Amino acid sequence: MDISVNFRLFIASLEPLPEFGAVAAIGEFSFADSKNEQRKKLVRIFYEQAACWKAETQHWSSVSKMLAHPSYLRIVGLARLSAGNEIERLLLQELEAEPDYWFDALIAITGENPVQPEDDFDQSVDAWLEWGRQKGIIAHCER
Amino acid sequence: MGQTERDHRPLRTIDPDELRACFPKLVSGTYKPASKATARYNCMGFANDDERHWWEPGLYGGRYHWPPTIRQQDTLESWVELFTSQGYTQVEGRDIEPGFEKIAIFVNLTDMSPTHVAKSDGNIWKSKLGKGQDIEHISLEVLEGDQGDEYGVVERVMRRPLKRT
Repeated sequence: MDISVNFRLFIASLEPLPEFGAVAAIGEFSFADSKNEQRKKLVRIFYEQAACWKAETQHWSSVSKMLAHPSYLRIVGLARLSAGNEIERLLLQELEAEPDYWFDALIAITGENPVQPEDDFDQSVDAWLEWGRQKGIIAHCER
Repeated sequence: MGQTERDHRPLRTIDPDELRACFPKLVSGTYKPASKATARYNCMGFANDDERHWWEPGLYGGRYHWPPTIRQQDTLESWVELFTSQGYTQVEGRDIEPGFEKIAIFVNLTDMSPTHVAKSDGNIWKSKLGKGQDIEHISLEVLEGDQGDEYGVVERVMRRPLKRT
């Protein structure tokens, strides 16, 4: 799983969030915002960036390039603004609705990796969804 | 878990208008959808008849694949090396040739890095469009360009005799 490790190191090495998009995302949050307003902003930015990432990378043949896309990095950066596993919940819901390469974002955010080295794509999706259920993150969630 | 859930996992169907927005030359009559969209495999996996793995150099783990004897670099040279190892030889002609399997490697117009590979079974060209769908297309030209998501230009065409079954 070198790609995961490398990606995590890459993200870690960028602390504190120097990626332009991620900084811009944080700029949209204010201390005056209520928790509910902050959650709404987090959800809005997540879906904006997820839609952008999917649209712009859907025909690429390189996962490595997809993971370096600004919207993907921005989504990882949103973890700093997430409370109560909200960003994990959004990613897992996205993974369940339309399976895609969210694995490395989840690893970077959670520091965990429930996927076995031999797991194929579908098994990787299943492993993360099961992880989310065991943690109670996606047990009763509807988008 | 797995099998039941996997069988019911939704796959996206790409609308023709959405596809044409990305590939302006993919108009009616030039292509035919051959699958739903899936991120399980990419064009390189598809060209190697592997619909379970994403073929990319330098990535490890069960969902990825790249032959260990081929250079772990995402370059035209390593893509050519991979197909050479499978019996393909370089040719000039871009046309479909009955009796031959052909592959066509596309490169980015800016840095000449490989972007896509299409394959032919001697009857028609076929492509897996990234995480999108498989299509059958009448020519290589329909995926060439740099206006939308097109793959640049075809830089290398290779062929090998079609295996008789």
